[in-house]
Amino acid sequence: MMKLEKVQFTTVCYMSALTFAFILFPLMTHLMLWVIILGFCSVAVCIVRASVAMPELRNITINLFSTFCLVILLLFYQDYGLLSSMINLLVVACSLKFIMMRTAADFHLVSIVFMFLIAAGFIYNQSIFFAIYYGCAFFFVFVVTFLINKGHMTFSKSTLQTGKLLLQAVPIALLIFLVAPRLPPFWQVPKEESTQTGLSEALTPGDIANLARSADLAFRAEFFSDKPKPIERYWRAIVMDNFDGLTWSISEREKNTALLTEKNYSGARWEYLVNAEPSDSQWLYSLDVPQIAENRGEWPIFLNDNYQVFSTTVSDTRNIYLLNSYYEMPVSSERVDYSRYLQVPQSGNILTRQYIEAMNFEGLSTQQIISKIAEIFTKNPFKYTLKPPLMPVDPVDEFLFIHQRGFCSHYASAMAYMLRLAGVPSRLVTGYQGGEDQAKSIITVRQYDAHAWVEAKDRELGWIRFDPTALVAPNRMLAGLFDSLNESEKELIDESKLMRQLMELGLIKSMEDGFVMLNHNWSQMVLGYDQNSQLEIVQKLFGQANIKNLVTFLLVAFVGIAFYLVTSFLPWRKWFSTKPVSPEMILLELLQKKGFTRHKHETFSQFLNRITPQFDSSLVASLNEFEQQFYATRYSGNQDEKPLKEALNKCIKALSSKHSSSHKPTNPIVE
Amino acid sequence: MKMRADISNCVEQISHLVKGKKTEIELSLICLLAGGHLLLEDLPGMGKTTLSQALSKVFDLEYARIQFTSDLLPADMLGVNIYDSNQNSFSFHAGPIFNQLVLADEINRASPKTQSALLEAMAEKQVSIDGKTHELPECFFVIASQNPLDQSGTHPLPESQLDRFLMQLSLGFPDKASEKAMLLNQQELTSVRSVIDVAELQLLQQQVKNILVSDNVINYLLSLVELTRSSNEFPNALSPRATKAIYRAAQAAAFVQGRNYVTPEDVQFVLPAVAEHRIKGQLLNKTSSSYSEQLLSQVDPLAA
Repeated sequence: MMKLEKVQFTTVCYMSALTFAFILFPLMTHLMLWVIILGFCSVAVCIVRASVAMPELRNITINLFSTFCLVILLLFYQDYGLLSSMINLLVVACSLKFIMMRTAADFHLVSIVFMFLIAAGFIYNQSIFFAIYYGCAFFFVFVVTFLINKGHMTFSKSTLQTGKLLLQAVPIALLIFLVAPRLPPFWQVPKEESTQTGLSEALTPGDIANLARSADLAFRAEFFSDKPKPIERYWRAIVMDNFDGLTWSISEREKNTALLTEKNYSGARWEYLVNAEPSDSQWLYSLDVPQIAENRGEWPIFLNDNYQVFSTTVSDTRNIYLLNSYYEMPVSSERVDYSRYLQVPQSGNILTRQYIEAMNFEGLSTQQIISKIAEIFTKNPFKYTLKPPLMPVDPVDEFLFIHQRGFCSHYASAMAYMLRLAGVPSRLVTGYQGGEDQAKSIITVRQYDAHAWVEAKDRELGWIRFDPTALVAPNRMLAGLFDSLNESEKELIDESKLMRQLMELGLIKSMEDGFVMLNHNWSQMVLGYDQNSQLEIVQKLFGQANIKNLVTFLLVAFVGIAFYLVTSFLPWRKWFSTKPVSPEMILLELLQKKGFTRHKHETFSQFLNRITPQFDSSLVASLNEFEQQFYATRYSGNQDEKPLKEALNKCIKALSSKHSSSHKPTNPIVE
Repeated sequence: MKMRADISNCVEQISHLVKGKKTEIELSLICLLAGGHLLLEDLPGMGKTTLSQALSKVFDLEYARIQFTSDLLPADMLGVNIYDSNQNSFSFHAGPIFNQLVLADEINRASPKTQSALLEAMAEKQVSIDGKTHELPECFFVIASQNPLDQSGTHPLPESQLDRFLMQLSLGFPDKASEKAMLLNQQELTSVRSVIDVAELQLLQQQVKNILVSDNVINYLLSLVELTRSSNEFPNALSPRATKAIYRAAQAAAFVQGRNYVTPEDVQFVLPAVAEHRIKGQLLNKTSSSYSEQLLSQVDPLAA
């Protein structure tokens, strides 16, 4: 087993300890607390061990401890899910190995585990920031590997060398990224247990209030035309038709709404691209009345008769698609049967039922009915809040007549229910409302923009959108959720207050805009790069996207890579140099490859004297012979180079047979 | 490193008196063999005089010591024409300089006039008095000692005159062991035996001139010199005389090692002694790293 020299050991220890800490940091949210502590303890141990000799742990201690760790991991496996548990396991294993590292092989092993951890980190975060962050971590791992393998090198020099190596690899990596076939994964990465935030397919008033506390990104839209005004930004996602007195949900029939058949789109429109974060739901986001212009995602998307955009496959990849929204067109439908939009539960919510029955709607148009019913919200002191009281039984009654405080889902739910009682076909729509303007053309929609509203069917006008929340909290529509809350409620949203205040300053805002733009492009170009994009490039290059051209493209790229390697790594200088290469230069180069570099001012014998203590005797003998011949040839007027060349051959033989002589320890750290 | 037997014998003899300074002794022998003059710069009491006396003993040279003071006149050193009333003519009374080894003690305390008279004699190997030239001995070797330049009452030697000394050495404090040995084992000057006589010395000096200096070494030497001229890091550039000095000293160094060719190591060995005082000149500030080390570190000996 190879052991490392003292100096090398210290640097490698420091480097790998820092790298481990660096890699652990972003993973922390997915690790169990004790795993985090174990990880950082091992980092500390490694740093201390670098300079101070510490007693070795006995194997039995480590084995017992690791068994113990395994048992704990198994106990929590259920709570954390397979993926998280596996990553925890990896970190635990790495930490334990870290505590007892001493040979080069140990460091190698740990470096490889680092690579896995970096890959695991990409499962959770793929933004450009993390790409750069993990790029750095990757670089550190390489420096460590370099130090282990090359040895006899200063830290700065090995950093430089590693940088050079990686830079040389960049063009190859880029080409492979562009041309390598995008195959489906060979095995499925187990899905993250903790649910992704997003809209759910059933709505119990109060649900969205929880969603509103999350500042996670829902999607970004990039507009190529004008942007809609904040009040026009109703992002439709889910349409619910079934109400059981407590919860709104989607009936089977609604779920299988026919696809939209040919339709004549006309009038002004918004053109935009939606880049939707992965979510648990198949429903995607669109402004009314949408038309799918292009799909850039991995899975096909469709548009149904409810004007919902949806994907057939729920996956953890992002959906990217281009839409045109004809905002002047009515949300009409060809269907005749609206009976299911009048469905109400047989019992419950009696007070509301009586309240509606007491009203007289005769001769009124749909819109008049709506405004008449909505008067209840304007005439009573309703309040908009993120912390509505619990209403487990007859929620509509309790909300309308007792608490009169609620979130958008309470208002929408109550409104839709009342409309149905009044005989107007109506349904609940959930989605997002508003969004933050970023950069010039981008709207960022976060989970706290989630919203619910009502659609009522009018014979002529089609589905009319009505948002009862707007009556109570007009700010919600104009300026977003944030400004419609009071101070104490703002704190419920898990975004740092300081951050929010900073954002209000112009500079930070414009910086953030730039970053958003960058991230948007990153997810467009890099994360969203798939087979279609590949074919697009092929089409641009060859004029036609077919398999033959794709294969040609691949071949051309690989030939390019091969050419690059040939041009940069073959020893051209040696072959075509005008200056004959002297035997001593060959020997010096060989020694340099082994990690022994001559200082500029050193004469030949000074250099050999410095390095020979690390060699074994046969090599030293041949080197000494070479040295003698060298001095005889170069300085004593002897012009014959032949003995020098012979001596060189001997040295080369000795060097290659003593392969590991450069790693031969002079003073092993641990016996 | 195996030294020539006779030279190592010399070193051995001298180090009975000057303990723990083998490298400096070797360098002073190299200086002597190269036919150059030696400048010793040290604090009082470091063994400058002892070293020069020991050198004279070892080579069996006629030795004189001139104590340079501020009122020393050239005539006191060179000699004067005195009117002999018996013969009714002037006769020349040779001064102390007419010796084979002259120790010019505390040279920087004398006036510039006296200093330049000595240096002229050193260069010309002859003395002109009242229009008559008197040849100095064939084997003529000056060891000048000077106090560090920051001591009071000194006339620093100008760069032009520093250049005439082949080497400047500094003995420095001995290490603890040597000093202890010195105390326990106090040696008299008489205990030093003569190893090489004058005729032999002249023969050796002749042999030194025949040591081979290959193109590779000359190129190395020239690139060293060139760097002092092109770079701003060095206060004074090395003159062609300095180049010659290094060349000769390197030859002598190779000779001392019993080799008949010069290697870059020889150049590196003599360079600090030969070049440092020329590069540094009259600068008083004692920089922590010496210029010659700096120079050596920047030139690749294998590049030629």
